[in-house]
Amino acid sequence: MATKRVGDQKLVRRLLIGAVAIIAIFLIAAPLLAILSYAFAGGAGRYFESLLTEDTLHAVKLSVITALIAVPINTLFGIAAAWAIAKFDFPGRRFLTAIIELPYSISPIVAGVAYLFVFGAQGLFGPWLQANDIKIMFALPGIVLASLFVTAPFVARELIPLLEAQGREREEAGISLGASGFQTFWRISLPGMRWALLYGIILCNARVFGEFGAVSIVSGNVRGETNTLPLHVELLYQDHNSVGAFAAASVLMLIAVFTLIAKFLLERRGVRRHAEGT
Amino acid sequence: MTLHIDSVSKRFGQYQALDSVSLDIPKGELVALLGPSGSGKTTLLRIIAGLETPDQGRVLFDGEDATDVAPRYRQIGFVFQHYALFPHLSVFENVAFGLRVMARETRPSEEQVRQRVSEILKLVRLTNLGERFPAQLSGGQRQRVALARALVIRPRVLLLDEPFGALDVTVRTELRRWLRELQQELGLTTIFVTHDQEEASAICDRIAILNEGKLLQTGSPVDLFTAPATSFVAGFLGSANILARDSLGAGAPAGLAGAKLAFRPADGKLSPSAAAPAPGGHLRLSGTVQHREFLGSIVRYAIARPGGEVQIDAPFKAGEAFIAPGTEVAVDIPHDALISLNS
Repeated sequence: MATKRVGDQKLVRRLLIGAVAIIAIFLIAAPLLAILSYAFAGGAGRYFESLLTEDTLHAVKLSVITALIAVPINTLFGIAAAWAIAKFDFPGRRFLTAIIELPYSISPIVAGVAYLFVFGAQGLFGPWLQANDIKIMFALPGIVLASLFVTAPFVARELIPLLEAQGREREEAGISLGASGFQTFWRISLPGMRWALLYGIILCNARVFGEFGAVSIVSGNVRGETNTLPLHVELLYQDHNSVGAFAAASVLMLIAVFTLIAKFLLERRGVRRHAEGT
Repeated sequence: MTLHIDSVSKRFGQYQALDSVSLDIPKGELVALLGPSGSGKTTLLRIIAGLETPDQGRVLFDGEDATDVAPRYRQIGFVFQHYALFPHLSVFENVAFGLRVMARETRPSEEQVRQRVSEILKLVRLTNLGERFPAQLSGGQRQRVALARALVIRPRVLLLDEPFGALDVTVRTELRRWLRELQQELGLTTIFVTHDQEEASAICDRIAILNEGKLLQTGSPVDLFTAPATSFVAGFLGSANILARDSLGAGAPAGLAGAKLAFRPADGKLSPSAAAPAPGGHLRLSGTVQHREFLGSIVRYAIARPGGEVQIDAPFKAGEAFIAPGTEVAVDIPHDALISLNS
């Protein structure tokens, strides 16, 4: 028989589990179901028709391109940052960690506005950029920059505790066995962090697709040109095109579901690895 | 390979890890670096491997200065305290690692790798475990994988950092005997770090004792036990009673010049204090039994005396009565059991 533990009374347990379940259903599950029911309100035909409009497709394409640029960059940045913080000891290490995690605690809108002040027409580099005919604001580079800012901590955050726990011994073993720095990284370090890395990449990717605030400031919301998928959803909604809005939203939902499944699989993997003590 | 360590010093911030340590290790010897934690023994091992660079001093392999040689070119087998196996690789691939990362010109063929790894796995008695992963092995098996991985590159020197530290006592005794046999079979110059004096004495040709970054004394286990130079060495290798020479007055034998004298607890003989005067050629101490511990084959008495407490191990014979605490006793130590210490 299981031992009775403190705080494990039947009433408390049932109340808590019940409350969380009800909140989860009303706050999270119900809206998701609503998306699907609205999206398919006019039947599958209308759903696909509105999904395949030129502007929606363009928004999907723009979001995919943004992710294809931002995710690899932040993956590399995350590995480099985590490596520096976890494996080296230097003054300002804690400070650097705090800076990397800043985007977690700052409103994305603020980041968007900040970029506007730096790169916008009235901004710090604005005149120079205009003179040299470089377009950052209200174009793809601005969208990518804002996405980079918002998702900067995702990969690093997953890797730092792992690399700290692993220490340097494996790399030292590799080097003493005659491996070069690159061989050691490629054959030992990278496989050693692969699951945490993948986890970070998936979260980063989900966030790039979902980001609204920062991107809405820097993109300029030009339909069929600088609208990413979330911005496009809002635009369609304001047009009272609810089927279109919800159809586009369902694409984001699909990404979320994939993210959830991948997360679940990776967590199972991660937990198992952890239990093995390696 | 012979190894010369030439006045090596290393500092970590305020902390002097090594202070001008010099040590020569002849080919084929098994040498223990013995000392308490923080004595600098692991730092010295890592300097030999090239994982740390000394602030001063040189490391020479066969007379050639290797101080500035990068660790990957040193061809040194290093076994880490916690093994540092590669968890995502099988036992076979862990061992094969050192061969697979060789430069293209010297890298053995797949067939040669297979053969070499099999040989080594046989040597460390892991023939059937090649497909396993490190997480599926016991501590002793992981230790042998780590050893196999280090041996596969045909190291010039084998370095082991607390190799048996994480193992339980039975595995530890078995493994250290096996390691000694293997080392002699291969004729491999080997250095291992330990804080366990019994382990060091049991299998080593020589022991180098370190404390607070300084090399105190080097010698065979027997030499260090019978002729320690300082009270630290005397107390670290077995237990010892240390006597300040001044506290002995006229009783101290003339032949021993050191500032302190030491004797092993087993060398003192207890007798009732009122008994006959000290036999010739013996140093007599007198005191009161403070405490008694029965340890099986011996009985350990703590004797309080004006110059400090001494410990005496008396052999236990069934039927013989213990000396009760509070009894006044005399301790007689033969002069030839007294060790002269410099400090």
